[in-house]
Amino acid sequence: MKNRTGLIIAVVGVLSVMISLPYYSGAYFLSVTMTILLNMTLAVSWDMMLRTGQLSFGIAGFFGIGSYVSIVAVSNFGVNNVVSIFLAAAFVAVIALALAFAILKLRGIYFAITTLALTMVFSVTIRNMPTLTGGSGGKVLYNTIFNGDTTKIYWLILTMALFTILLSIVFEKTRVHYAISSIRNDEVVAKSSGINVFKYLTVLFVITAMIQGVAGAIYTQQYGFAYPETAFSLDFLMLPMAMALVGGIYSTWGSVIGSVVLGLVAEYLRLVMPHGSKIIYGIIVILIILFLPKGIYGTLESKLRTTRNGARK
Amino acid sequence: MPILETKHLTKRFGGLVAVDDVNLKIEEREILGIIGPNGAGKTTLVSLISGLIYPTQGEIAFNGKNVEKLPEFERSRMGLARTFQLVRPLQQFTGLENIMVGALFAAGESLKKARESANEVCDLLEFERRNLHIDKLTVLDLKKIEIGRALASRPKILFLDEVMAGLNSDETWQMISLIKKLRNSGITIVIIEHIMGVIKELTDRVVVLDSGKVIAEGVYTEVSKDPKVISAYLGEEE
Repeated sequence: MKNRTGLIIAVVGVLSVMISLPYYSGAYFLSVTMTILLNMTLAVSWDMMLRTGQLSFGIAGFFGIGSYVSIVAVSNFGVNNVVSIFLAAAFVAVIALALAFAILKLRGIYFAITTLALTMVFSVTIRNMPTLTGGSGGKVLYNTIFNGDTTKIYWLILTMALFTILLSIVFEKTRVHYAISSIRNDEVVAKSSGINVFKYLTVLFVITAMIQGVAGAIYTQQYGFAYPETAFSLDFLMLPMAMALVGGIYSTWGSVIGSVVLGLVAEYLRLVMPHGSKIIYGIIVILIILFLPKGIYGTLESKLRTTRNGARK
Repeated sequence: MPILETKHLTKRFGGLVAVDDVNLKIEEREILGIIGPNGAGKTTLVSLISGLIYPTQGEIAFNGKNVEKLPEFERSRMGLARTFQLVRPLQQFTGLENIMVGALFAAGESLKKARESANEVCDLLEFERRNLHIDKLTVLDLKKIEIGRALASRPKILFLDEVMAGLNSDETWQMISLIKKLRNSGITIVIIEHIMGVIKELTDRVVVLDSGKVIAEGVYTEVSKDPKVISAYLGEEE
């Protein structure tokens, strides 16, 4: 009971700080926070799919499609900016669902490589539709969302991140957790225990793709442009993966912690050494994976469990 | 009507006929033994019936309904359950959670209900260390998980693939009395076993497989005297 009250106070505290952030933080810190929240969303969504045992490299692909659907909807068809984000989600969902039937029979490295290849296919397709997408020249958005009001954009990104975290926690606390962990541990046992493996993989694949598409749409609305190089940039794949790995995979909080830590580290490195900061960043990621293979959260959690067990004895 | 019936069930792997025109009739609440030398096709037969693999030819009727084309998860929800010869615990979970998986999905229970059912199954199996992570459990515990997961799925028919392997004689007797208990609770049981004492003690009827074919069928005491069976299988023991 005491624990629960503490948790509620902590959640309410963090939430009020996060919501009121634009009122007392400077523009710079707010922009760093938005980048962190964006990567956090991608990291958590990537981890959600990983929990089924399927390693997806499709983040950047769905992110890019979301970007382009949103920008094309607004500038070519005059759709409302906010509506365009929902449109991006729906569009990505349809594509992911169609792909699910084609590629969710693949496993392991074959699935991973296929999702990476699809990202390239998406990027080339967008490049070759110049009338609609502006081709390799990209596309600029003239009427940005909320007329460029940073506070509102921040709240939009915060909502997206919170929604993703909440969904991830729901999946961790319900039967979904048992289904997808069983599939990851041993698919043969999962099937013989009555788990519809394909259904769970499809649901997870479509939902996480939608989240990544929405992230792309919001990113494009925030910055007001989309180029094939940026929208399908592998940064949107590598950074979230590194964050999930550093924080600790197979858990919501791992990805959350990882994205805050690495997000701040990346920003600091960029300030102190504008060139070559990514090398240091890469070394940090490698060191953490080598010495804390369970990630920050995973290591803390197992330490905590052993001390608790020790205390009981 | 038999609870499970196979008609001309055949599985070929390339040139090898692993299961060859098998016609089985399993009656409700009986304990059927499937015996035969190594490589006779016993596990393949179970995998065909459970749906892990699909037959090249033939039919499988469960409660009068053809199931040979249904995916494995649907068959398990209908009440077909199996254990695996080599234990396959889910690494991530505790013993209890492993067993819950059967209750959650095959039996379609809620989380709360599944936890209760899994605890009941653990009580039945006298599985004390149920809340430990599986890397801290013994072979017998893992066997209990294997059976427990199948039982929690509330099966109508249960295939036990060499559950006695690796158990000492005390544990084997525990397992035998457990299987009798299960039959009395109304579950039809098919056991694959190499230990003839177990087959003799438990089964109402046995089917002998050799090179994928049924070579004899009947009560154990008669089948064990059949010259074909002796030459294929029991002859090696004499």
